[in-house]
Amino acid sequence: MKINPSTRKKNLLYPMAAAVVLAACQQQQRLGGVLLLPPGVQPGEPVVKPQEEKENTRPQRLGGRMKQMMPGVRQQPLPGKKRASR
Amino acid sequence: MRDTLQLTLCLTHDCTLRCAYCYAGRKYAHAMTREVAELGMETGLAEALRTGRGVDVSFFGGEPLLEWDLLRHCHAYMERRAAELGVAVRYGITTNGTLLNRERLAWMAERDFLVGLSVDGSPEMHNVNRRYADGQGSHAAAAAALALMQEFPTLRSRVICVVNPANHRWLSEGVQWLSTHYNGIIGLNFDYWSRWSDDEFESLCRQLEALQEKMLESYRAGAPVHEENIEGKIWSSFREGERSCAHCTIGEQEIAVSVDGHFFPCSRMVGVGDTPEITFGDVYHGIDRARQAYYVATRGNATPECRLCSLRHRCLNTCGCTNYAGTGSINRVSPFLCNLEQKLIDVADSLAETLYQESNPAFMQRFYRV
Repeated sequence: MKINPSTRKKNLLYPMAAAVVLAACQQQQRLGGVLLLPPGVQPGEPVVKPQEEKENTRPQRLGGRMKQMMPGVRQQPLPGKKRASR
Repeated sequence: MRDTLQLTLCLTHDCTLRCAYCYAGRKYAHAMTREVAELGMETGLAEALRTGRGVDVSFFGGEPLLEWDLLRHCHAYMERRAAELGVAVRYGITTNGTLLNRERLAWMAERDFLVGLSVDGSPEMHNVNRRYADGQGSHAAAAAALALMQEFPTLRSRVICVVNPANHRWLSEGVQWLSTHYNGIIGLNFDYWSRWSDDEFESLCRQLEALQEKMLESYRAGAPVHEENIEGKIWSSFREGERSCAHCTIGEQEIAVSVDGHFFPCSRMVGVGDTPEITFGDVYHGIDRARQAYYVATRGNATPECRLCSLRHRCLNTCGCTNYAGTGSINRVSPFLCNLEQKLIDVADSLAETLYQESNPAFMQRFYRV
């Protein structure tokens, strides 16, 4: 047996959803970790709304980039946004 | 970073068992004195005050329940002093269960102890290593303790299952046994001190794959088995770009006090003996700040190969005691750790991907809160 660094660049088929940030933080806190919540979010407060309420709303922007929230919900361009011209 | 100081008190070297893999060294009837215990707690409190943290006090051994009166004395002392100083304290214990009874469990449940019970799965798996001095297996006692714990639904508890080369062949059956007798968190503690042959490691990988299947079935049946390592690897994928939950605070946020009062940087390192290169002070002279600074400066992972690894953020490679067990250095990774971590990540990702594709309700609730 020897040390064998992984070069795997696998795209995981289970995405990180924004709600998971909260769940992971709560788990980490339970294990004695620091709570890293998005700005303005209190512990226990949901970060995203349930799926049915989230339909037809703008995707939430967390951490400076768009995230896929749930299966079937894909990133949509924000209304009124135009591609920057060179 | 954790916001508590982990203070471990090794109440005794003695134990009711003679487990084959025990890293805590020779067993002899030598208990911590009250003076050493109190001085150790004072050091912990002073360090917590200095750094603005709470304290998690953990009772360890040998078998700490052999020193039940000392344990109660420590609890009363800590409660009084922590209240005087305004420090938040929680308590925990790691026990083999042979001396657990209703009265003791009720006492600990009332005081919100986290009880870690060592049970290595099924009778076949457990009795390979966990035996009494006369060679008899101790599974019956551990199973009785597990059943007793279920009578206290509010008790915080977890089960610790050690996996080593001698018992790993029963791993998936062992976890199955635990999950049918216990409805809480199961933590597999892999034995990093042992030398695993290539054949044994391959066999361990097959067992982990079988465990993956059992966990998949359990989620599909709506009664999921929660195993810390595999679920921890799923969580680790969510913290992309962050430090792993395994970020080790060795030497800084953990003080393990040996029976004779030496400070060790981690409870898993106490058993290797009171050697100057591992200790960092004692209850009579306080924390050796130079040694502490050495641990803080040295900890992490200095293994060159790991810099290339795409999984380094999901790996235990910074765990000081795990590295020490495998290589003798707190910042060097062992080949066993490297290969095991990759296998655990593979197993975790396969499990999570399948359950996510199926929109498994128990999985979505646990990991996505939906």
